[in-house]
Amino acid sequence: MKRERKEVSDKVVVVLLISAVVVSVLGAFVVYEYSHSYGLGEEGQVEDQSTGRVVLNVVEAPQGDFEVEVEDEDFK
Amino acid sequence: MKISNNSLVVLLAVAIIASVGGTFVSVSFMDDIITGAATTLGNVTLTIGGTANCNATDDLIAFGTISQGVNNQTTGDTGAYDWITIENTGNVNLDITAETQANLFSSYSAPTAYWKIYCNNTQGGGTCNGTHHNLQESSNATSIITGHVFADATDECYIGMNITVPMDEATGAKHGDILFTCTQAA
Repeated sequence: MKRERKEVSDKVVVVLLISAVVVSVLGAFVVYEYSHSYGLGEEGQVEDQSTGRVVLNVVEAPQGDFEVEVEDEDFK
Repeated sequence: MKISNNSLVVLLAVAIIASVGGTFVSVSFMDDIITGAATTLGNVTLTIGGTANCNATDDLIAFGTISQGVNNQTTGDTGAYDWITIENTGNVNLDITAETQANLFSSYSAPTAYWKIYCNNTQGGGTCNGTHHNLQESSNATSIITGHVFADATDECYIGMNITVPMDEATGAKHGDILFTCTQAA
């Protein structure tokens, strides 16, 4: 007489499915943490910025007729 | 096609083993980069990435009170002894450009000959651009220095300004902002 194989219950399948998902996510997390602790794949910064400021207080020119000329061209 | 629970169990078991095995292989691969143990010699292999950093450690030039129509610049015996100091705080040589972030004069927007910028000096290597350039808007930044070095003792450069107050500029307090962009030199 042929022996009938016992079917695994649905609960066992669900538990295994959840386990597979947890193990997969955990594995991905471990690899991510490892790679970052070694600084793998991190690019150096190639650009930075900083600012400066010029301040002054403008007062009226002394009385008299004169004009100021500035050079339009860059000069050294 | 109907799949039996037995088949599903086998497939899931294979998936779990593959996941654990894949993680182990990945971590082992990364461990090859750093090897060693407490009681033996270690072997560390690493590459330090280049980082472009700059900081305006003195970011203000104060000209004081200037009359309409008068020129002043941060150089020479008659000029204001004040500079903007930019320090290379990274670990690569830098090319630095400047552009207007906020106009100094309300009567003339950049680029204008009333507001010029130049590189006065540098502590170390690099090519300091001493030409007085009209400060440009962002689309056409002016090169201030190229190949500015990063070694601590020589990593500062000094930026000067040359301004002329327009005759038709309104009186009162003025300020202009400059944006310096530091990029890794080629």
